[in-house]
Amino acid sequence: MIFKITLIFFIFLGFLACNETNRNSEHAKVDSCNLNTINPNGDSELAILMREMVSLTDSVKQDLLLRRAIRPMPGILNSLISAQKTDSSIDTAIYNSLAENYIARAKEFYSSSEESKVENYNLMVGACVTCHQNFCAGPIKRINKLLLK
Amino acid sequence: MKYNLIFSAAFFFVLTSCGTQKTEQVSKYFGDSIAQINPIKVADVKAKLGTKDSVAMQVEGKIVEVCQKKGCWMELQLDNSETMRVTFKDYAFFIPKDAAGKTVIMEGYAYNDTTSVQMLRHYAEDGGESQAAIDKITEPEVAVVFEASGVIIN
Repeated sequence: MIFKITLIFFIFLGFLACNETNRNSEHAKVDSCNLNTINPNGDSELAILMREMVSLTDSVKQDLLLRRAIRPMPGILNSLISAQKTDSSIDTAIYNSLAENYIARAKEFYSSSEESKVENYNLMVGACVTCHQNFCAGPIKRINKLLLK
Repeated sequence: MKYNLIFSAAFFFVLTSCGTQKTEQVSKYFGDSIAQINPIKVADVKAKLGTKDSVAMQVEGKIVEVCQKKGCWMELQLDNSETMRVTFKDYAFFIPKDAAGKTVIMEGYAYNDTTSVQMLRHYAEDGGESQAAIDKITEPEVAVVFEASGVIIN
């Protein structure tokens, strides 16, 4: 009798363990499905800054289209040179001069009169394209969408 | 003796039940979610595109190469000799750099495009090609490409 009870207990334990394993694996699957990362390889400071710049420029574009007041130039743009790059080989004098050119174009845009705002905005976006033509051509298509026709 | 054997079998059953982890394929999603999964094979992309400029479709295929700088593009085997380059819409998401060899389901647009020498060199650089190989790229390439808005990697 004791033998039978012990045997049934072991079999019950086995089924419980099976069930728990399945539940855990189902849970892991659901967690993974919820994973929605922008960059699973990790972001550099410059990559994060670039994304902020895209979002910022997009909102400036909307402000211009809707004739809303333009907010002052954000300070983050000044870290374009010092930010850590995804690819350290781009940390060159050419990059620095193109980044300085962008900052100069941005300053010009943010301080320009109402009449020249759109023109200076496009020059600022154009400075992004020029830099990306030299270093990372991937986002050019996206940047071009920021231009005002 | 008989009892010992039955006990041993029961112990073995319990131990293997506890220790067995199912090696289930885990899917990873990037970009926009894909509501209904109903892909065509990558080999059928050209036929579905036909003479149209671009066609929205869901495609399944094998990743043969991934951008080694950021994971910002991948290449899928189209047929025995040709691959199809896939970029991600609005540069808004990336995939793991070690995804080559895995199966992908993606949603987006296939279209014929001319890739400039500048872009081809950029892709070659991202793919880890030598400077000599990059310098050999002197002609633009006309090919079927794909812009994915969402991908699932298995």
